[in-house]
Amino acid sequence: MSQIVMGQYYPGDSLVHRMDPRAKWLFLMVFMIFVFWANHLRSTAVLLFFTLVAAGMARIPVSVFIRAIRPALFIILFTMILHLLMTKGGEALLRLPFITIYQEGLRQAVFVSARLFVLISVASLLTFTTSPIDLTDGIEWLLKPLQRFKIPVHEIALMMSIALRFIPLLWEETEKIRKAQTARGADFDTGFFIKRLKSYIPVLIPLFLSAFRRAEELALAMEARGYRGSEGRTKWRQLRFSSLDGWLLIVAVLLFFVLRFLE
Amino acid sequence: MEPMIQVVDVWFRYQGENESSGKWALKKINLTFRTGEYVSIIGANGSGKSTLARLLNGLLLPVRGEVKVGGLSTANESDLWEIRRRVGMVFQNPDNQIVATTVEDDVAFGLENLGVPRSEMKDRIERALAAVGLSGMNAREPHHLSGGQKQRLALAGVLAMSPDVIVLDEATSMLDPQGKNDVSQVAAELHRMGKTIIHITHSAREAFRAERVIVMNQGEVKLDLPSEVLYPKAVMLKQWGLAVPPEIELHQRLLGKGWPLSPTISGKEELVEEIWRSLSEI
Amino acid sequence: MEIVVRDLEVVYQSGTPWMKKALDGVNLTVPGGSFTAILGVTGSGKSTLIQAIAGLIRPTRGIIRIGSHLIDANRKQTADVRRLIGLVFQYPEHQLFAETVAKDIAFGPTNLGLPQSEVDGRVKQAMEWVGLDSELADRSPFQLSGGQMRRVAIAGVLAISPKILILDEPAAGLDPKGQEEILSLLKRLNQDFGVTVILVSHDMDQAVRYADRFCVLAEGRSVLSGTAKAVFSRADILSSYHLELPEITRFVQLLNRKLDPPLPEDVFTLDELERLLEERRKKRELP
Repeated sequence: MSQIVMGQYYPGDSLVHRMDPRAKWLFLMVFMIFVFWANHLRSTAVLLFFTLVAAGMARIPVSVFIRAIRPALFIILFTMILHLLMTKGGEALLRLPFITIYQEGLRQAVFVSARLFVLISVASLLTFTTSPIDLTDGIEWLLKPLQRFKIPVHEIALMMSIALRFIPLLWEETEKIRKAQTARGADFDTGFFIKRLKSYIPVLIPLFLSAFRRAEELALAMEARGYRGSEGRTKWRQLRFSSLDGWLLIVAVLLFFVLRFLE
Repeated sequence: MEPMIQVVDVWFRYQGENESSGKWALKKINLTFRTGEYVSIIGANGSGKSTLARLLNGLLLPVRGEVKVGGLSTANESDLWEIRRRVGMVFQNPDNQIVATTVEDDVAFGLENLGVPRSEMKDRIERALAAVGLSGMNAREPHHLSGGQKQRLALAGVLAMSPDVIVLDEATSMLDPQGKNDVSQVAAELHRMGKTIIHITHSAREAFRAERVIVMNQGEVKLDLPSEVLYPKAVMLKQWGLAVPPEIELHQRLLGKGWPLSPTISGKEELVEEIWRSLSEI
Repeated sequence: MEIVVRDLEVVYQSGTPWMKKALDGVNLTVPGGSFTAILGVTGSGKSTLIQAIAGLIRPTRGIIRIGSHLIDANRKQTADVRRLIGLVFQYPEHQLFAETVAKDIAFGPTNLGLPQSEVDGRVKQAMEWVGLDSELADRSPFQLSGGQMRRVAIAGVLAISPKILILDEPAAGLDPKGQEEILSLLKRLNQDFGVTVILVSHDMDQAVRYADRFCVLAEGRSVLSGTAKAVFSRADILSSYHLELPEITRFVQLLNRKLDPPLPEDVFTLDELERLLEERRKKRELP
């Protein structure tokens, strides 16, 4: 349950954990551009190497890491096979009655799956090492320029953090209602799609009612505590760039030059 | 000195209730809360006690009559924010009043709303957490706190805004005995620090911790007495569906059986004394 | 119907960093037809225990016997068990969902596959038990008062005709009158219909007024069990787990600091105490 609750956050105190979320968000964006820029196997290898080093520095246990990206591994494998079988060109490496694997196919398969792996791992690394609330703060900061266009950035960020606060509660509640209806003989596990969907009505209705009740009470409590939108509001949470984030910048610049040299 | 809160001839009914049916949630309420008082309001479910609480900080506005906080009327919209700062409120459900994902962020929420400069916040957060006994738990997630701790966190959030009055709106009813006790103790402590406390509850035991008890039934104030005056007569609370402290019940029963006890008692110790005295006589 | 729990262990999220041992060797015997209270502070494992008994959580180790049915780590025949047991969660009114009171109460019996006439009969019967006016049958449950909604929810469980009824803090959040009504209802079901009732509570005074057997849980273990006398004579154990004696018992202790000879300390209700004091007074008057 806690896994669903906290996304993938893996609490720790590594260098990566201590970096500013804004710096991590920005770096992630730049890094993603790098990944798509890298059109050679060798430059992708550099990025892969960097990713593994970063994961090592974040001290995320390999088992936790693998469990988190397992769903994505399937997609990587699928793409890999697809490229292996479909891409033609170069020397034929293997000839079977229906299948021929070409050199270019192998190259593409390795290249594309490595690229996907790097993308997913780096993104996971951000969620592994940054608490959800820091992620939200980071997003709020990134979105700030949009305020000029009358986009309610503060409200969006507040909504996201309230959602983070209430997801565990609603999750627990779902479990509880499910159990209560099971105890009254409800069956959620048999039958086809429509029947199963229908069987969830006795869970969904109380859940929605509860969510509305909570929202109403929370709104009242916020009003009682003097909340009236972003105007005149100060902020307690403060993000601070540190020298660590400077290093992140240097790494980005270095990667840029390495890639430029290799491409 | 000017009273802290004045409720003058207040009538209230919820929107959607048929106007002609005359079903008022509150009828002709006149109450005065003085600065530094510790008052409890008791009543069964549906007696209107929570509705009254929400009128005190302008979450609801009277249909007739007026509520004034330190001279400011809740009818005056521009004063509403100041009123809500002065009158802090803790609600019944611990889960539905915590906004943030960590303890200290939640205490900060009210301060942010007030526009308190960040440099001041640290100190106010620490003091509020210390007052409710949650020091050192700054980074904890509310989800991992017990019910009693959550309510104390809610109290800290209110306290940081330096209110004059704290209203506990059935804030203990969903807690276990230890949680109930902790919250009541913090409330008593805040009273000693000079805050006006208004504790809304349906537990007579909790109500008698206050200096003054207001009994509500079907939207009306039935009694408004100093705690020590009502306590010996607490058996009368039964008629409004409220519980009676067992020592009072015992006292009444023994009197009924002809025991030569004093007609009023001030507490358990006195009843023990009285019982012992009448059993020792020969 | 009798329940026997032996060496029950339940571990949540085993093999993850979030692993938690909720129950760690619980032993419990609930005689058929008894009114048993399970006492303990929040987090002592009460909820986990009743869910395991109701077949909603599978034990990690140990065994639960309900009548002739067995539940353990390997067996999955919980559906049969669920027919025997009615489980009322905390704040059960938050699980209401149907358009009308009658439809909500009918949910359980309908799931059992009973014919419509039987279902209707059970709905009527259940409403009667919990004291809901038959006029309310076609009303939306969400228009009722909190106390009435609670009764609809309890009626929905009673309509399954359980042999064993388990309730988690059924009186929580109600005012004293509402609490009294719910608990008297349970006592009636227990006495008049022989339903085995298990009441989960952290309110000692309430438990001692209605239950005849007690089991104290602390930190996932069963630390005391038996009659009121057996359990509440161990104030030392209770207080070490942050549990108090019933208020009347504490009052007797206060009296005994003065009275000579002291009153017996296994007095748990006001009626008993009144009777004892009257006896004492008459004895004094006789010579």
